[in-house]
Amino acid sequence: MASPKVAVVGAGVIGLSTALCITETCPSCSVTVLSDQFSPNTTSDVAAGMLIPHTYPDTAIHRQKQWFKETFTYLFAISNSAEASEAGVHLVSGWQVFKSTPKEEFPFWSDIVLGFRAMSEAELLKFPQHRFGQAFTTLKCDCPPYLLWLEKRLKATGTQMYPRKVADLWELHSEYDIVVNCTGMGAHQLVGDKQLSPVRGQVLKVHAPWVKQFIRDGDGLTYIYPGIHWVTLGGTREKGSWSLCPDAGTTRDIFDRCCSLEPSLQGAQDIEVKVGLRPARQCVRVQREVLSQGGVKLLVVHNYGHGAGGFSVHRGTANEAAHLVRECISALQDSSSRAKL
Amino acid sequence: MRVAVIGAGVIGLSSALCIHEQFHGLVPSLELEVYADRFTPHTTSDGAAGLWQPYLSDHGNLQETLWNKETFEYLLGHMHSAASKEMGLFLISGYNLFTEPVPDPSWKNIVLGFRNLTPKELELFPGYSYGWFNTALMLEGRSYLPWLTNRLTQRGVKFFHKKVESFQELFSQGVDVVLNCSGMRAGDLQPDPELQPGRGQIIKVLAPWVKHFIITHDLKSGIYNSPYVIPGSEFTVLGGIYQHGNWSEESSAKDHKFVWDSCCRLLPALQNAKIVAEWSGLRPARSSVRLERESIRLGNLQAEVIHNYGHGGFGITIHWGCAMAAARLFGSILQEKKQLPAPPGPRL
Repeated sequence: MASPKVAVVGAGVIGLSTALCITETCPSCSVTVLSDQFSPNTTSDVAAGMLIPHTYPDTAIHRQKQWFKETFTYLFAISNSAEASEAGVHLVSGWQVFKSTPKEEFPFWSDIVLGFRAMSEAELLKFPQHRFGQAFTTLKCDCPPYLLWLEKRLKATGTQMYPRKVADLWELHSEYDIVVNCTGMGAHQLVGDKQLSPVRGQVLKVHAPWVKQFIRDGDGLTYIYPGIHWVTLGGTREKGSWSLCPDAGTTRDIFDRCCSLEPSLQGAQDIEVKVGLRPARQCVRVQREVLSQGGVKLLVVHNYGHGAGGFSVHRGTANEAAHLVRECISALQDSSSRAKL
Repeated sequence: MRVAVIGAGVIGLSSALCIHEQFHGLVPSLELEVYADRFTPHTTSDGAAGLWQPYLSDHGNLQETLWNKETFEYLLGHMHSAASKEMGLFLISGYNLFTEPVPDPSWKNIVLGFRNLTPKELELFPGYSYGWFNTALMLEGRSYLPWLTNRLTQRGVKFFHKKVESFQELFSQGVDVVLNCSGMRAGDLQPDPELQPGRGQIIKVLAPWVKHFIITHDLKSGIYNSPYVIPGSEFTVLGGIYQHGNWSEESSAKDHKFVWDSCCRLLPALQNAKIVAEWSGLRPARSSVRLERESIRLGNLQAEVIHNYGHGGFGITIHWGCAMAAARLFGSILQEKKQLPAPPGPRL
C-alpha cells in the first residue's frame, strides 16, 4: 500500500490536531480533512481553550493524565516560541476558588500545570464567599488563531481540506482507506452513539483588556478567562440541551456571576454571546473499529466525546488516534500482502 | 489657608488629594491649588508602565518599605470596586528573573502569593537560573492621573498651568504652605546634588497575548538595566535602561536596539509585536526620598515647604504612603499655626 488515503472527518481542535498527528506519525499517508464547519464556526471556536482538565468518569486517570501532560508539553513549547502569537497560545495565571473545601485539594493535573499551590489567606480576601482556592499558571489556546494555525501547518504538509457534510461514513469507503471520526457532537447522528449527549454552554466574549488573571469557580459554572483580544465569561452546563440560540436571561446571569468575582467587569465593553454544545461522554472514545457491510470492510478510528475537556487533552488523544491509524495501515498492509500470496 | 502643590505627576496629585480628604472638613478656609508646567499625559508618571514593585533592596530604609506597603494595601482596597477600571488599577502576576540565587526582597509579604520559581518555569527563561513569582498591581498613569484630577476638580481644587520659578513667587502671592512635588526638576527650585536623573527609555508595543510582567535582573549592571516586559491594559512596555546622570529626554537608537533585541530574546513572539511608540524619561533618583518640612524665613513671616520628591523608579509604588506622610506633616503645620482645634485635653 504505497500511500494510504486517510479521511479525517471534523475540523475542530480534535479533527485538525488528529490530522496533524497523522501526518507526523504516518508520513506516507495522504490526509484529507472533511468537515461541514471550519473555524470560526466550530464548537472549539466557542470554547475559551483553557488547559484545565475535565475529569472523565470512565477513563482511567493515568490515561487522562498522560493525555493532559502531552498536550501541556506540546503547547508549552509553542508558547515559548516565536510562533506563540500566531498560534494564539499563551500562558495565563490565576485562581480556582471554592465555596467549600473540595475533597481533592491536589487534582491529578496539579503537578503538570505550573506553580500549583493553595491560595494564601491574603489572596482569598478578594473572594469573601469562597473559603479555599488554588493558584496556578496554565496555558490557553485562543480560537480562531489556534485552529487557523493548525490549518496552516496542515496545508504545509500537503493536507487538503474540504467543506463537506458527511452523512454516513460509508460514503467515504471508495475514496479512502481509513476514516478518522472526529465529529464531536456530530457523532451522535453520524455513528448513532447514544452515550454521547450535548452539554450546552453559553459564554460571553467581552472587551476587558485590563483583566490579566483567570478566575474560575470550582463548580465549573462561573469563570473568567482572559484571551488575546477578549475575555471569555462563562457559563452554563445544561445537560441534554441542543439549543444553539443565545438566551438573554442566561447572559444577564453569567454577567452578574462574573462581576461578583471580578467587579471591574462592570466596565467591560462589546459583549458578544456564543453558544456551544460540549460533546459529553462518560469516557472519551479513542478506539479502532472495523465496520462491515456486504463483505466490504471500512477501517475507522474514533476520536470524539471530549466534552468540556477538548483543549486540555487534544494533543494526547490526537497522538493516540494517530497510533491507531498506524495500526490500521499495518493491518491493511498485512492483508494486502497476504492477498498477494 | 492657601496651599500650593508644585507638580502634577502621581506625587503632586495624590498628595493634594490626601491633604484635601483629611483636612478640608477641619479647616474651612483651606484652598488647594496645583501648579505645574506639565500635566497628564506629559508627566514622568505617564511614561512609567505602572507596575507596583519596589527595588530589590530597601538598603535598610524601613520607612520607605512601610510607605510601599501602605500604598499596596490602599490600592488593593480599591480592587473590589468598579472604580478600579477608571483608576487604571488591576491585578497582574509575573516573574522576576536572576542568574544566581538572591535574598528575598523587603516586599515579599506585601505582594500576593510570593514564591520561588519552579525548575519547569525556569525553562521558559534560558540563561536565568533563579527567580520569583508573585501577584502585584498595575496602576497606569494614563488613567490614574486623570482619575486623581477628576477627584480634585470635584473638590474644588484649582489647577494652574505654569512653571513656578521659586517658592518665593508663591509665598509673595499669599500662599501659606507649599508642597514641593516637582520630581526631576526639584533642583530648579532648590539645589539638591543628591537628586540625579535615572534616564529610562521604553518601547510601547501591541502584544496582547502577554499576560505577565517579566523583570530580569543583572546584579552587576544595576536596577532596570536589564530587559523587562510589562503588559498594560492597551500596550505592553518593553524596557531595560537606567542611565544615572543622563539628562537627555530624547530616544537613542542604541538604547532602542538594546531594549528590542534583549526583550525579543526573552520572549521570542515579541518579534511579531507592532511597535506603537517610543519614550524616554528621567526617574528622579535620590539616595532616599526627600519627605520633610522646611521652614523658610521671609521677612517676619515663616513660610512652610513640605518636600516630597526623589522617588526614583518607584514613585507609583510608594506614592500613597508618601502622600499620607506629607499630610501628617501638613497636620503638624496646622497645629503649630493653631488652625486645627487642639486635641481634647483631660476633663476636669
